[in-house]
Amino acid sequence: MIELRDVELRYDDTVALRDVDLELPAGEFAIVRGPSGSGKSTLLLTIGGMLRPTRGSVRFQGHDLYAIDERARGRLRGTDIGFVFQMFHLVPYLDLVQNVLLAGGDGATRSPERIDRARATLERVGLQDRMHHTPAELSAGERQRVAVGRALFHEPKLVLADEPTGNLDPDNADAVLDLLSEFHQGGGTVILVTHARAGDDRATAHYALECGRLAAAART
Amino acid sequence: MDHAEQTRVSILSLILHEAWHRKAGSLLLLLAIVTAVALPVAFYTAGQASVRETSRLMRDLGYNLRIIPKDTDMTVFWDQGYSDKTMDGAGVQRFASRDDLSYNHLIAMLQRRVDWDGGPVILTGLATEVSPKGKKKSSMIFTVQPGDMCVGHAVAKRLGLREGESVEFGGQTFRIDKCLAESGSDEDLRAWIDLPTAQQLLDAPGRVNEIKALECHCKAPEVDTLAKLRTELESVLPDAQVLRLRDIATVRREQRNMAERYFAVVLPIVLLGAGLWIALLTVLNVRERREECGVLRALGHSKGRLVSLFLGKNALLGVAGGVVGFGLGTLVAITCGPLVFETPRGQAITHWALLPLSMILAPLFAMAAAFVPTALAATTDPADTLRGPG
Repeated sequence: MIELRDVELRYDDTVALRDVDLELPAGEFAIVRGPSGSGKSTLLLTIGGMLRPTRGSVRFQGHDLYAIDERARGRLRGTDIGFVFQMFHLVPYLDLVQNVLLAGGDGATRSPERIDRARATLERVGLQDRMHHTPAELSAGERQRVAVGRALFHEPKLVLADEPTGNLDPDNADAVLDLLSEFHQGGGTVILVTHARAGDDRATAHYALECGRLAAAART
Repeated sequence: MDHAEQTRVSILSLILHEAWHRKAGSLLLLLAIVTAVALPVAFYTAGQASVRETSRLMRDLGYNLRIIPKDTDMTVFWDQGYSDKTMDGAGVQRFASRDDLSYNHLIAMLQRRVDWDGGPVILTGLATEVSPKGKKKSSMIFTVQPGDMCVGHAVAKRLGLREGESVEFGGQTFRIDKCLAESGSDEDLRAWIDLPTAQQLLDAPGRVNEIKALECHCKAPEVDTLAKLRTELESVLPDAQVLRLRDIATVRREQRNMAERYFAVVLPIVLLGAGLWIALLTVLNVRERREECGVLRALGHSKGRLVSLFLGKNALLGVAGGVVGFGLGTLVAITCGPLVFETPRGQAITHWALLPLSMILAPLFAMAAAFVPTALAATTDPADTLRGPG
């Protein structure tokens, strides 16, 4: 499903990713672990078609992501990829339903059916009583659950999670990881980057990233 | 499903939610647009009031004309204040008999500088003032009966003249009817007698050297210009030429021109200031929404949609600002315009045609001012805002 070949990414004189090769079949729950500054977020954004590598290729479902134009990459994210960020990145002026409905990009419709599904998604992440609240009215754990709901709403094939439990207490962290596991068990692919031990027991593949170099750590 | 949920999260909805969420910024943006619209609207509205007022004054005042002999040497005329040539005095009656010309006062006179007891006097023979048929007008100048004389202040003072006494002049006896107060003009040097006597004394029977036509009009409005009036008078007074006195309307028009020149300088400055203000507010808005831009891109929204969000907000506030600016500008013109243009209250009226114009131009202006920061927002690498510490 995902194939990175000889990927290098430089920022001026800094090499964020070097000689990265990765082949990840569909249905994996991969954890990429590494210390802060090791290039974890960069790797995730590169896989998600958000950050063009300086060298090498990134293939997703057979598409060479950086050979297709930006609009096509955007459409692909809108249909097949979901993002979860450490800082949640919810839109502050929209309520939870509207935040979830943003998933899907330009092509997303706001049909009654989608609105029903957005409500169902929020119920699934345990926020059925907060649907018309804005993010500012939620706790960090609740915000991250909304962000996970948004990432899962359009039924992507891949979820890229960047330190999704980094700002959460253990209970909320578990709740978020449960949601990602549930998605994985439903056939979805997850790549989770973290510097902590979170999610180890749920992952099917482990990688280590250090100074931009990726190494396979273990498979379960 | 409630109504709020059924609301489509369209670009318009996103814009409205965001504008409401960041009320202060939105209000400042609206204020900038209102300013940019209100000033031109106010000036135009007040300016049009001034134009109408000038037209009204021109119409009401008409032309104040000096009709003098055609062969007058103008150097001499301006030097001594009257023509050294004469023309047929019957021209006054021909003027008065025309149906296509109206006037309120028509006075023929013969004037010449003469010596009186070793000093200069401008002897002025005044005909009886002609008024329009059927209209009783108060005279613009005094009338002098045969045998009477009115004298200016300097003449009376030099010769020691007093009202009611008799004086000898040119071999005739005159009763001093009036000694005029000091005027500060050449009237102080004049002695007025009736026209026939002056013609006799100056050996110019039936002749005059000036006709004053005050508040004179062509009756057809479309010919109410000086050039047309001159053409019309040509047929009545073929041996005369016409000079137009500066009137209050001219002064007012010059004042308006001055205000327009001032406005021509101020308007670009205000528009530039408002444009920069809008651009700056958009920059701040873009900075504040960097994360939002990044996450929208991550969710698959296109650059075009981002551009629509920012420009759409400016367009929407532009429409609102156009409406408010139109209202405010009109209000300012109606309340403050009379002070600026010295027009009577009530002259300024609402120019409704400016409303749709404001509603079209204001959004365009607001979008143009926001274009560069919006383009920067759309082209900023979203990864910059989304990248975590790892």
